[in-house]
Amino acid sequence: MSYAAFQDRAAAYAAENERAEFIRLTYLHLGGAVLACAALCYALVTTAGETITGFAFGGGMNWLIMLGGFMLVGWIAERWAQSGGSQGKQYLGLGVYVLAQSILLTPLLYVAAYLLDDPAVIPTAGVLTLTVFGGLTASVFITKKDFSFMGRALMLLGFGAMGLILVSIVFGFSLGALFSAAMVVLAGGYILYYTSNVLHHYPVGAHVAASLALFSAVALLFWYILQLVMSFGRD
Amino acid sequence: MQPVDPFGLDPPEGSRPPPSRGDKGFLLVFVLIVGGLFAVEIFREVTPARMAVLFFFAFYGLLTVLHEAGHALAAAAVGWRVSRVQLGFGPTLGRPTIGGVDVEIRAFPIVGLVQVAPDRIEGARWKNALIYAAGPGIELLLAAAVATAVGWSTITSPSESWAVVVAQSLCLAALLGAGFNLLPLTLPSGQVTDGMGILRSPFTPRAVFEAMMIGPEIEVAMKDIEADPRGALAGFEALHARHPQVLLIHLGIARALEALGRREEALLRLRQAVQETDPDERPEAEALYIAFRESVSKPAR
Repeated sequence: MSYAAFQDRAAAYAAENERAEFIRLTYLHLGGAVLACAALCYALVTTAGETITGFAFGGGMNWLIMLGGFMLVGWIAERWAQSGGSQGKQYLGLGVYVLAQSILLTPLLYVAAYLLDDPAVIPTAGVLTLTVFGGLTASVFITKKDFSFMGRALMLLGFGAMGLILVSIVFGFSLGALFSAAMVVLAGGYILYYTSNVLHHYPVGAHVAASLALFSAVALLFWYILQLVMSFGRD
Repeated sequence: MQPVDPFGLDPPEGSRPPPSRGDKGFLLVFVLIVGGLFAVEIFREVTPARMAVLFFFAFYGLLTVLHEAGHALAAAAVGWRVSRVQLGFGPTLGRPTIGGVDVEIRAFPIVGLVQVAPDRIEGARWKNALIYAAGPGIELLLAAAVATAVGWSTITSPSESWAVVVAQSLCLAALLGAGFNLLPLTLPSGQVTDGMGILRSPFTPRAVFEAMMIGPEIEVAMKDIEADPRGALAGFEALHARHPQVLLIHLGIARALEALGRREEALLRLRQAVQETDPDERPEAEALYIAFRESVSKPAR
């Protein structure tokens, strides 16, 4: 589903009922994706958590391999989700992305669930993620502000963050709470950007791809909020 | 982490309202917070490993220049014309002419673009593949040369030496740049990575190279359509006689006919051209036809 095919049907210019239906479907799919991810994470942590965590944090370049694999699979899934040809392919893309994200989240969740002596860590991170996401979403919907001007800045900062993560893994130093805090702010920026695009720019009919965009931002936010909560717990 | 608009849904550049002063202020605060936290995290301790982040980004920018130079030099070596080089994205900082080529220097040198055109059709496929390969190739060669000079075991081992970390950062930036570019991907914008370009080159239809070859002539005729549609039509018809398979010429003819008020004829000619297109180019041709049909069916603003 390329933009060109839908440029006259961007959400902001679509009929009121079409636009409302697009937004409803986007958030319905986002909710479904989050629930599916939570269920998959639970299943993976309880059944294969030790194996996946052992591999991911087993030293060497294992974590880099997992991250690289996630980015590659994520890329393919995103392309499927945006394909206009078949609805099945779009859903397959969303499904594969959710699965890949669940595998990536498993090591951190396993550590939080079994290796930290605090059962409140994951629920706290979940509630904080929902609160931040809800607050940012509400602010965009209430103010109707168009945050699409953030695109380039997000791309540059995202590139910077990727470089930092890569160099830290290759050169063997750990990124601390300040980096997590920066990533929470960055994820917040992505949420503002994608939400305002849902409201103003994304073409109606592209709800699967739009929900995938939002889901990726929510997962990023959760990941770094969880890291922050864990680091505060350790302190 | 995801690049912005990995989903290919964003509206094209220029279709959004320009940011207001308030937007710019918000953006500045946002960038300062995220960038500031990144900087504090990096400088928490000044060690060679942490400073590798800075070396890595500095080398990545320089290697982008080297990468594009690799494409341009390879093009010149096989006798192709280099019409334009773009280094980076964002605001333009300068437009020098280097070796007769217009070079556009942008603020953020993490991507680039080299526009080339063949001198003749013979051998165009392998020459095209070679030009694509030269960008990542020059980065890999540099990484191999640095690794050989420093020592392969040294370059792959953790080190506290500043000199070794600088060399390792250079190799990492070169490997990442070359590695990403060699992945065979088609980007949401429709552009392809070097890897995809190399793979596609042997199968690229002849008409595509013809279009590249006469690109400047097509551009001139396209610009003439509004001022002199009759002259532009004659120009396109002359080009068509020499290159009957080039779709862009058919689009030019259709646009010129439309400008002359012959809308039905324009649609019919473009439709016929699309049906005669090489099967490999058909989806792109169909999209072009649909876009043209929609543009002529819209009321003038």
